[in-house]
Amino acid sequence: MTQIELRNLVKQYDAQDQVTLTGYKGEPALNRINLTINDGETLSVVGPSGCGKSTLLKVIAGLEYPNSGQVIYNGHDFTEIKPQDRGVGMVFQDYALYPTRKGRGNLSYFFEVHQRSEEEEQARIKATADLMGVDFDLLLGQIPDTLSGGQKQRVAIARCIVRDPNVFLMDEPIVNLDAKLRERTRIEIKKLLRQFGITTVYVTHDQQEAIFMGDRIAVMRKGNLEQVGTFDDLYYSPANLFVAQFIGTPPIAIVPAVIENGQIAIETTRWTLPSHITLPNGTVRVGIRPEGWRLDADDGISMAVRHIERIPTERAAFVIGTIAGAHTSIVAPVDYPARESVRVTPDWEQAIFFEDEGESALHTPGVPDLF
Amino acid sequence: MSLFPKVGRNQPRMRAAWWMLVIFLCIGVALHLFPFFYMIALSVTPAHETLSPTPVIWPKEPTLAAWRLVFELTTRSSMDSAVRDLMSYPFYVYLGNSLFMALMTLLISLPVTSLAAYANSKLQRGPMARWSFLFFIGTLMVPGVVTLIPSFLMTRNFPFPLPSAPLIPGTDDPFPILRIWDTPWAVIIPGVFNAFNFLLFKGFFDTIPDSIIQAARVDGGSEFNIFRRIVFPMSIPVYAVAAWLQFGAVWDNYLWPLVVFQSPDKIPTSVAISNLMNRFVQAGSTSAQQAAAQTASMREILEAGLSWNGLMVLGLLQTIPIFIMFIICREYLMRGIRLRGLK
Amino acid sequence: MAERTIPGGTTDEVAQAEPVEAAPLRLSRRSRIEKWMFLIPAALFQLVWGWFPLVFAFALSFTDARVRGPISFIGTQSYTRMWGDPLLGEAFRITFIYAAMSIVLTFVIPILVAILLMEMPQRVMRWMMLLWFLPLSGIASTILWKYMYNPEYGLMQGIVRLLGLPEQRFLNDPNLVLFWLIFPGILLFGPGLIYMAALQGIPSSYYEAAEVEGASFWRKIWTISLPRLRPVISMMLTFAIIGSLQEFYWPQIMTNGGPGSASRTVVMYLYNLWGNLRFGDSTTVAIFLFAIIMVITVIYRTFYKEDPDA
Repeated sequence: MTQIELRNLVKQYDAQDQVTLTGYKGEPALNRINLTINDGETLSVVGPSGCGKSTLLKVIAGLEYPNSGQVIYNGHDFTEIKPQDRGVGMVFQDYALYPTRKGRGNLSYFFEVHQRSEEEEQARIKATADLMGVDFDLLLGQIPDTLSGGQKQRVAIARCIVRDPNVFLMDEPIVNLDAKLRERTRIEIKKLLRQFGITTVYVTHDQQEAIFMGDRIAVMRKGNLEQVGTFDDLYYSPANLFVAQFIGTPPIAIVPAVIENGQIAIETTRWTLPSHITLPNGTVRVGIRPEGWRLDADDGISMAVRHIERIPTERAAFVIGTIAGAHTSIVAPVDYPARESVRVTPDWEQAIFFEDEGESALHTPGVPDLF
Repeated sequence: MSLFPKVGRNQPRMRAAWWMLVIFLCIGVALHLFPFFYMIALSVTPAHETLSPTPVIWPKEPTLAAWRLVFELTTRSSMDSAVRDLMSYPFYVYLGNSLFMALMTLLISLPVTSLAAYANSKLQRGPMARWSFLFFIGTLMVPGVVTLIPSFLMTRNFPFPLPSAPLIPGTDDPFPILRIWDTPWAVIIPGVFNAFNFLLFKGFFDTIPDSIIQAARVDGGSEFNIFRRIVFPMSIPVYAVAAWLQFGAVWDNYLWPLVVFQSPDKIPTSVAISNLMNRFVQAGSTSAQQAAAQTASMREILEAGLSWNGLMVLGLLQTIPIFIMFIICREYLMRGIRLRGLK
Repeated sequence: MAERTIPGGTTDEVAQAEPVEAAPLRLSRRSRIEKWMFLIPAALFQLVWGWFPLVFAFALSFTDARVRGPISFIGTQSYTRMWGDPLLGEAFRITFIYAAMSIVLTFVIPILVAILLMEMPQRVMRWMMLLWFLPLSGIASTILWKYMYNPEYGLMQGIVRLLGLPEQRFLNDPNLVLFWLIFPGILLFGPGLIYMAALQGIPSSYYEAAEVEGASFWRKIWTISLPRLRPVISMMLTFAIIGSLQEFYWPQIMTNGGPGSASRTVVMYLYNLWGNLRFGDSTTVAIFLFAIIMVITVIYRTFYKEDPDA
């Protein structure tokens, strides 16, 4: 039952090489972030290293205070409130278990500090252990040093939920697990989040993880919030070039083109744009997703095929080449025959247009109507 | 087992080299242990043998005379006035002084120093942390003898490092002063902050991942509670090392107590034993004949039956508390290392 | 650029926007108060007993202070006088020789022994680690070695006679006294544990790779063990240099600077001056020493540039 709102958050590093006599030089870690996280929603925060997502999480948690701006929980200004009084539970990237305490001790620390009764502590630990699965009791009696990464992770998650928090905050919790385990844990966490229905902020650098875990996704770069929205919003209506390139695997192809009187030309090949797409004359950059190409088109531009990547398990293949200097991947049937070159045409309905210099989007197709 | 190749280990040349290594190390350890052994041996040697020109490794007729003598010194129970005059006070007085000073220093110093190091490591950041660090560490660079005079004067007229308190301007009365000179506090108070231990603690606290502290902050509790419940249990090995180092430093400290104490009943064992030894043998004798020409004080002592053997006993007594402390601290050290895995 | 985590709370400015509804500020500044509570006791002691005497000593060097009587400011007279003092020059010469010998003879061996000890099986290593660190009181050491060095009946003399060499005067020999002072240190393998801890961190795969390349025993030590130890060695060497240049207690007790002044280090000379109530001069000497230590340390660190902290 917690809605979080962030207003105008600014946070600067005060590291040595960034402070001068006249103030801070260098980019702020958080640059005027405005964000609302709805009650019960899971928000994934994703972005490249150094974009400030961990810092954002810490400010939401209360581990860091912003230089200006507010953190508002349910309409109350919590900017100055200590983390323990915000009712948050947090899972850290390196688990951060207390090394001298056993699993049980890690869970009970919260109750000891807040002087809760013994019964409450026992009851909650039992409830959490039941939730975490059959063999969790074993982990309770062990010191973190003797546990594997996955086991430590489970204890860390248990520690987060044992105190019945209002908000879950997760900082790249599965990044240190091996691939197989990551897959499994991802699903387990998602199940837990569904079950609890608690407001969650989930930070990761892996976009697939972000898409999987989050009801909405927030993309950050260099302290700025580039865009927030559902997957569809980000995929079909990216706010700028960065978001378009960040979301989507294989990545979108960004091809330079020239628009002249309703016609668009990539190198020497020319097409007519659909009438509802109005763009001024001049050079643009067109973003085309892998599924936005038609293969073997008569009116297409010729692309030299570098290689075809076949993924039998997904029953798909990608034809990879270069068009007008841009790296391009095109979806193809898994048994698409190998060849030297192929003629391809973009589906202009799905294309995203960007300005020539700079990053803003001139036109986005929006979520396609499937029915 | 990394320097020796695994294959070909049984070749004669390899084995020879291996055993040479073992022998070398054994000799080294033996040499290191030799002083202990020798001191024990000397302590049970009859007095006249210790002065004989042919060196003895183990006495022909070991005797506990020296131990008995020192015991009598300790309790002043001897009838012999010469013995009683050797030391102005029973040995246990000095022992008590030393113990009090050492343990008191540990009691106050460890919390003060370690908490400051923790604050510097985890609670301070940025330029402030760096300046604080330098502030705490900077005095390590300076030879202790430099501050000897001002520190000494301060123990007399705290807080003024001057021979006598200055007058309050406008009146004829001197400033009120605190005099800790000639009390054990003159040793304890300056020893409360130990820069080297600070360095040790800070270095260790720096290795604790910040995320653990953050997790504890999310859980709650004051910073002190976090320190007490989470950080401190993790730090036991470092406390053990710091305690051991500091105990040894205070217990064995000679120059400062020498300077700071005047009443003979307040001095620690380190000074008492050294005094006795100095009366027995003068340092820096310029000719070999001087040893044969016994000075009055030496004769005195010899008449009481004390010779090098007795001195060795005293030396061993001086060492034993350090030894005990070593064993205790090593226990905690090992326990702590086992808990976290060798760093 | 890797993302950095920022520890702890930090400074904050008043929020620029109007707060929606100001919730009561509950104890959020408490961490900061606690931080100062942790720091202040130690800072006080350090200030009073660490820095204050230092500064005062520095001030003293510009005066002609005695125990009693008036103090007058004499400026840099003390400095010029001590600069030309031949006794001080001699003390420095002695100190440098002492420090150099001490480091060469007693610094290298523990490193070597630590490296070699790693070859032993686990149990042996444990025992050795215990035995090495058996502590001997400094006072006891002085007693023991005073005895051993006695020219009449000391053990060292006995060994010398046994070897058929001419009798030595040991601590009474102005030419060799420094060597004899350092000799006991050779037998102690003191800081070996620190090196061993560092060596534990070297994965055996490094050595195995070297072996495949055909490296010999000594070569492996030179190219693998030593480079890994470099930061630790660097730090210990710094301490050793600073420490040995300040040597006071051991030579003072053993020889009182003798014979004559053949073993009088700078700090001993300083103590001497203090005994003669030349306070101003003695602190001047201290300043000189401090300056030289700093210069040597800085030179050493620039030539031996190493990653800050292992």
